[in-house]
Amino acid sequence: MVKAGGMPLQLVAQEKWYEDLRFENIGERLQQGLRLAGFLADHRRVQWQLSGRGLYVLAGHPRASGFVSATRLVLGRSHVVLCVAGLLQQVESVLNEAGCQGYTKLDESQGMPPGWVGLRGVSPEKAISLDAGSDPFYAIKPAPDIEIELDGGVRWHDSVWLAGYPPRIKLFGQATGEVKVLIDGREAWHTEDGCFVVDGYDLSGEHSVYCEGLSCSRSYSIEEPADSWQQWPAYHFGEADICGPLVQLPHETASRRAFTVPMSNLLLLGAEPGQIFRCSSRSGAHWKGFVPFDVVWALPAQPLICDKKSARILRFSDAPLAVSKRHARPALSWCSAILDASRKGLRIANAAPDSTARWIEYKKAARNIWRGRR
Amino acid sequence: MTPNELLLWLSARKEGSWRQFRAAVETLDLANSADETEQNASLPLHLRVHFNLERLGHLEFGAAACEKGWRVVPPALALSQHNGHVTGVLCGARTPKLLERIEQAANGLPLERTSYTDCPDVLRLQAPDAETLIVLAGRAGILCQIDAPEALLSRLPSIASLNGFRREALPAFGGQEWEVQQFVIDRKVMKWRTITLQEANASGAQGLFRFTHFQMPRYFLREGRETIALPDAIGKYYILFRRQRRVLKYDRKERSLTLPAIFRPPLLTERALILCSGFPPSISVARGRPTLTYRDIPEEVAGITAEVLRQVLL
Repeated sequence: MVKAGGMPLQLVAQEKWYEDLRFENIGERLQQGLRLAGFLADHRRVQWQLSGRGLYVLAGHPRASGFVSATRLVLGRSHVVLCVAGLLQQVESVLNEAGCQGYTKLDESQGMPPGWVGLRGVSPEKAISLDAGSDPFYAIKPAPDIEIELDGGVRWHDSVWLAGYPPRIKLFGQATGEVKVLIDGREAWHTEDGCFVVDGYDLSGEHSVYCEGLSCSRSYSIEEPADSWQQWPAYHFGEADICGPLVQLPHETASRRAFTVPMSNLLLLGAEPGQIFRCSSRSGAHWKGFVPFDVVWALPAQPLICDKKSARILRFSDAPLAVSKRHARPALSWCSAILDASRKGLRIANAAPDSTARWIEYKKAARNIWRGRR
Repeated sequence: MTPNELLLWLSARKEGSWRQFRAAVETLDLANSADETEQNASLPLHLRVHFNLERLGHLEFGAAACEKGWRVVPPALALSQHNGHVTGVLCGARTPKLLERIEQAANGLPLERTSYTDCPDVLRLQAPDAETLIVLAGRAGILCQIDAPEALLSRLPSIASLNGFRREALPAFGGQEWEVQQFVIDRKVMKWRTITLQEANASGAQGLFRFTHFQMPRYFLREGRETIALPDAIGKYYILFRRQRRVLKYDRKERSLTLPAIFRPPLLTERALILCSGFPPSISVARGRPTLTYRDIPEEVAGITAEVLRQVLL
């Protein structure tokens, strides 16, 4: 938390910048200046100060989005110039001298503070020498300095670009003669869009750029990101962890595939007594979902009250009965489902002889368990 | 930076803060292609891209282990069964090398690449059976989710179960200026209606309420004596369920699911629908109302969706 003239404000840190502050009277603040005071976590007192003036230059920055404050116009780059309305005529005259053409003017109706004018797309082409002493238009008089710019591509962090997406290397400024650009010690050549390249400038590793005879250099590196990402439980429902499209389940159920059955046969039975699953009733002709065992039989949801003329028992597997000595309580439901279907006299769909034999085997087991339990 | 490059950058960074994501999106070189749904008409670019990356299963935002930011999902092929073939949609992290590996592993199977508004290219593979794609994923060294839409949907709790959401008092008069709205369903009209803070806090007030402060909405369901903080979409479908109103329309012939844009499904339900084709829903206007249409939806998936959302298909 900081204070500006007694008004408390929240200054939120981004990765390398503080988040924007919004003021109602930003026009006044820009002209008269602004001082923010606060304390760091270790109780040290800190201040941020913006000196008031009637002329600002904003430019793009490799580590910030949009336009941020810059000290001076740079030849060949696009800028935004903010000035108080009273200075507009003089500012335009200087910009004209610097060869700036085609910029657009923004006024209050386009979001400028009252009394201020914005000039967007200011791109100077000629350097202008400064007046003797303190020049009030220093910020809009570009120097002839040569600058190397690295932009475009995919900047991973700081001066590191992703392999396959190298930076575009450009030169800004006004040289007195031909400038020789060297990349990795070899003379670079121009591409059609005004960028400098040499063979291998886009390969993984460290690279350097400098202009021969001038104190102007940059370096960058290109790296291949590590191909390793971990699955983690972003969401958790019941026993399932979800991450993107991935659904992670306990080991024994993880390998199961979705099972599809006609909506007419929603009672599913497995080979082991007790393996019974009642599918929910849904819109559509088929039910599809995950069943915690391998399905052998699918019966109508209510075997005793279905229409035996049309209802059928469906067989999905030829798994033999797997009787264990421990029958949990659901075994009775499993038995009663089989016995109900049998009492009703339901037939097996597309019954092969082995299907009938298998059904009789299940029926006998169900009857034995049922009798044993009573 | 294009959305494809953005995903490469996010994949290289692996995880980060919300503000870092927003700053990266602002460098995107995108046309101003506003999504014209009720919810998205005025959404800024960073939110449109955020929602698309999340719906497509590339990134998770604000979930466990990334509560205050984002984290990239490991690369995975999400399989979906269709009539006579299986579609694999590539989700999660990407690098140029990984894509190269997938193309090599595809062994002649075409990797279909389709560009789509405000999101990275949709990358899909089609094969006659799931096994082909499972083997391919193994060769490329990426994860594979079989029956991805069904696997997701079958694990989601029904909309009628509000147990997982926090019981919380409605915002009252704390000095903050709230914009308060109530979700109204009256015959064919379904919309947010502005009300006062007092009306929302009145003892008999019931239904779904939206409290907005500094463009940050919060949603509360008031039912009986309880007030529950929950996501917008879950609140809406709960209201529909209580009113027994049906909004999901399934076209068996076209295999498409259409619904009013104001009833966009909750995140993971929508992700499951999108994974059927790999494409976000198309937007159209029917009888003056924006609608969303999800394509290539098998009837069984439409059925599970309806069950999760406690809807009966129209």
